[in-house]
Amino acid sequence: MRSQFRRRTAAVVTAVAVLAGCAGNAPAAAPAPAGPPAAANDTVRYAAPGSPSNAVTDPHGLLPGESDMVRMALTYDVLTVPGADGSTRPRLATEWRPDKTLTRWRITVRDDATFSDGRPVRAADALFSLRRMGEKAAENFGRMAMFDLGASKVIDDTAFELVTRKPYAEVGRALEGATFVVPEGSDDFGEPVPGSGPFRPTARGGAQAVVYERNDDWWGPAPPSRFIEVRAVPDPQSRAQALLSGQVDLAGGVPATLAKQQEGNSAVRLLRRPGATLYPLVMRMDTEPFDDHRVREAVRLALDRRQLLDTVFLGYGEIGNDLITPKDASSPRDLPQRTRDLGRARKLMADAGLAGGVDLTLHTTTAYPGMDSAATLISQQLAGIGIRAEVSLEPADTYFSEIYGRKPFYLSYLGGIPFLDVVRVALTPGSPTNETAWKDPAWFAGLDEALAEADDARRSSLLADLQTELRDQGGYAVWALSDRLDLARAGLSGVPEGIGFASAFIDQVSLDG
Amino acid sequence: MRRRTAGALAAWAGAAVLVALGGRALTGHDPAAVGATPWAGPEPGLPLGADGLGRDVLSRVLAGGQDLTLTALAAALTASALGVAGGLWAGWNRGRLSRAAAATADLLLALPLLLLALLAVVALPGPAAVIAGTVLGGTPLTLRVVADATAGARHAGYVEAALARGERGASVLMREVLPAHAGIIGADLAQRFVLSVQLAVALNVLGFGPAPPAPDWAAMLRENLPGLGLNPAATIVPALALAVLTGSFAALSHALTSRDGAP
Amino acid sequence: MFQLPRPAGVPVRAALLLAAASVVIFLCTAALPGDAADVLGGGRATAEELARLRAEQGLDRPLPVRYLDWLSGVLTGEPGVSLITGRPVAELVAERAAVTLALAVAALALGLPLTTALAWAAVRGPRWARPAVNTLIVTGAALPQAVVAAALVAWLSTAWGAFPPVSMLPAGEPPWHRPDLLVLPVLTLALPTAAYGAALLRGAIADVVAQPYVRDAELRGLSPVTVLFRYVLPMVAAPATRLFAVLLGGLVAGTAVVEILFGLAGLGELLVTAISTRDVPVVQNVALLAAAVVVAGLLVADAAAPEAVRS
Repeated sequence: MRSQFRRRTAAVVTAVAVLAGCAGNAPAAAPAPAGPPAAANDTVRYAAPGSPSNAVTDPHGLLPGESDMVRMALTYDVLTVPGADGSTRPRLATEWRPDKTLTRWRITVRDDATFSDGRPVRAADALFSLRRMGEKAAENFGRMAMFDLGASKVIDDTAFELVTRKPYAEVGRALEGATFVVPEGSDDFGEPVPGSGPFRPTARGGAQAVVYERNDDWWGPAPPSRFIEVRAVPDPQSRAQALLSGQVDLAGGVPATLAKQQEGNSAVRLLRRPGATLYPLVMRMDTEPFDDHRVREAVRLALDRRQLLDTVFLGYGEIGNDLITPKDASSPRDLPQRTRDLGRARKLMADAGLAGGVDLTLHTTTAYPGMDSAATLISQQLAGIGIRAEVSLEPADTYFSEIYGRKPFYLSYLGGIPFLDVVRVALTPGSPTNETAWKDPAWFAGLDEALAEADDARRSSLLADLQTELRDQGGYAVWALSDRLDLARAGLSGVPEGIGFASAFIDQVSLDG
Repeated sequence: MRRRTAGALAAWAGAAVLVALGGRALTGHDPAAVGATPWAGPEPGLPLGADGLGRDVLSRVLAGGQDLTLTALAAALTASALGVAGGLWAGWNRGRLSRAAAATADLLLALPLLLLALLAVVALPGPAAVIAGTVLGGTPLTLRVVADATAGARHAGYVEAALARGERGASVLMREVLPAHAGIIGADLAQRFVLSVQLAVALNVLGFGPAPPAPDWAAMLRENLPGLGLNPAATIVPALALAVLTGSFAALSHALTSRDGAP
Repeated sequence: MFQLPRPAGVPVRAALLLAAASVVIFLCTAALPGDAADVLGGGRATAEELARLRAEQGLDRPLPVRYLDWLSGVLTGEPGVSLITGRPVAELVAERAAVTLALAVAALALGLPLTTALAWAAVRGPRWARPAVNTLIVTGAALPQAVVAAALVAWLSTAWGAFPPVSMLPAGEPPWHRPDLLVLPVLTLALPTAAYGAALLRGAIADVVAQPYVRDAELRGLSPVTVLFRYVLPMVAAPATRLFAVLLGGLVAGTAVVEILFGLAGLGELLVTAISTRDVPVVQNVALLAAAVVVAGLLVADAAAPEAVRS
């Protein structure tokens, strides 16, 4: 999901629970998922990545697992959502309109939404929720960093003015996904606070799973299912096995090996979301030997992307072209594919004075499936240009505090997030999370210029140029993108398309499709 | 008869260790090399098929016992040595200090072993954590066994005789008591070995394995379970290897202790 | 076997043991590298943000203060709040206790009769079968849990398709409503436990059956089952109680691996996850609870059975 950051922390959990992955594939005559007793047929059961031990109730802090995102998206309304095509769609917010300076935005919210305690949802509730996100910046990766929330103010019950720190044309996008609206003044989040979303939590459930019941007063399209049961299951293998044994109806994020085994099984359907995940190879540009542009380019030319894709993701995905956000709506589409060219790579190494090769440590972890094998294979491929990269496997639960942003050469993780989110978190000079030490002042000036451009087409082209420059000059090698693979029982419909936050909004799932 | 069984089992367990330690030398391929289709079944030149990365399972099985066995041996010897020393001392002097030692042992037994091991594995590198866990979980058991045996021997005829000859306590312990209980101690050592292998495997299941691409039986168990339906050998053979390794030491331990007692 | 000083009696010794255990647990959790603020900040928070988080969570206070705070919380029934989820630890534990309890009770319910049967068969079974039974006991007890689980999944799930390889317990229902989902986890726990228990009980049974009155009963033609229940089991009750405590301790440790292997949200899974997210209040209280169970078992056994069964 777009909450790469969340998933990454979910990795903490995945990593531990990890591996457990007990299981084989289902017997060849795979029992059609038996399903619950007929009476329960109005319940859709979803096994989502996440950990039952980390199930949070505060929608504005860290959402450690995708299951947490899904639960929040059922309970609360958000201001805007990403559409399947990457454009921003209205949700609770019906309109967002800037003034001429692109710094003052009038956000209009629906007048027909009500919280579960009967109170109407007002603009004041929305602004309160954004401010709360601002206060919890440390736990949500500064998602509200572009806004001056103190200067923002409520206009009336259905509108508020949102002030940005600099001209910022992408406010609709900045409000996508995680802007869960709670009643103004809520302060005890030990239990869920009232929400206005399409579903409401019921008392049924506990550590194993939570059951949500349809909110028949919801303003949006009526959800077809009466109940949705959300279960956090850390291990990908276990999620898939739960589906194959008929214990759930939808399994999010299943391993490619298992998906491969199920091809041809008519009892289940494989859902593929292209480009959901990438494990970029990070080369820190302020550290030898990667401070030399030729070495970074040589590494990018030494990678056998096809072999990596086939081995690490079993072919479920596409080869990367070193673009860090290839599925972003503004990503350049017409660049030539970078391919393996050992001859040129060796020459670049020689030009950089490294004809005799160089010894490096490549850090990786088991937080996400295949990260370890990817590093192993990359190390073997880089041997072709004299880079002797020793693979160092780090514990998953400290990887993102000890390795991420600190070591010069490692595998990172990005979960299909938009370009501007990557910029905010990983490409800001001086930030501890600027993992490639990217700091070209001209590039950042170009970014400000792009964000101050009101015309959508022109802005998009400016952003595309920035991404192209980052691809050629920066410290990332993006060798492949993997599909997000979900398994659903045959007949299940309404699973959202699209990656990132889009995938969390499952209110339209139905067993009768 | 028993002695012969124990001898045979000792030879067998020793052989298991030697194979585990030396298997790497027998591998035809680099166990980390990617050479086959992922999850390929057994075929000529690939007797046990391939794993999920397309690596030769046979090579990985042959090479995969070395680190695990070395770690477990080190852990067992450390835990046992500490336990024997502590047990001799505590059993011989049943004073206040030895009670403190026993109380410590009780305390360690009351803490869930897995918790101790997990805390250890977060703070220490993998093998060190296995050693620490085995010491924390196993030494108290050894200490109790040896202390009871020593306390029992304190007033045995051969000890009294040695003391009457004017020998010092420490030398009586080393020359008389220790050899008299060699069977128990050997059996206990074998048990500690089994414990440390179990601990290493458990830690691995919980996600704290050796670094890839290093082959390791426990890691293979975890890595290859997803392919159980595609190439069962990739999971079952390392499982068997672990079962043989632990089983032979357990049987040895049994043979050593049942010389006195069982039918 | 020797013990703690006895003058104070069983409850005081239990309290002393638990107090010592709480210190060890506290120190261990304090020694973990990193803390919950690191986890919440996800490696992307600035130093000031982290400092604020730590202050909010009370992680910046000195160790003795934090320890006493925790201890008084435990004693007053308010053991703390999870640093990651913000929920009371008591609530988290209560939600999960049923799963772990169901596993442990079922494993004991299956394991104890199996233990007795195996031990009896090893000592008094058909003469030709005894070596096989002994081998089974000895090697079975030595198998790592993951090996047992892999074998059970390969056999009962992959090959036979009888049971699912993972267990998604129904939401809002007690776990025993779906016994089919508990079969593999319980077998994984019970089989090695039974073998281990039989290895310990075997010696005690052998001692008893060597007694003249047992031989006498056998010579009078009483059936082996009658002999077992009327003459042997009552005599091994004392060591068996201690054995029970040992097995219970093993189960407490063993459920974590099983819960994670089969996808059950029990106390063991909670503990392992909480360690990885540095959710110290959760780790401390779950660990202390586990220690309390083991201590209670050991002390009951000590009170009931002064002489020891050797492990």
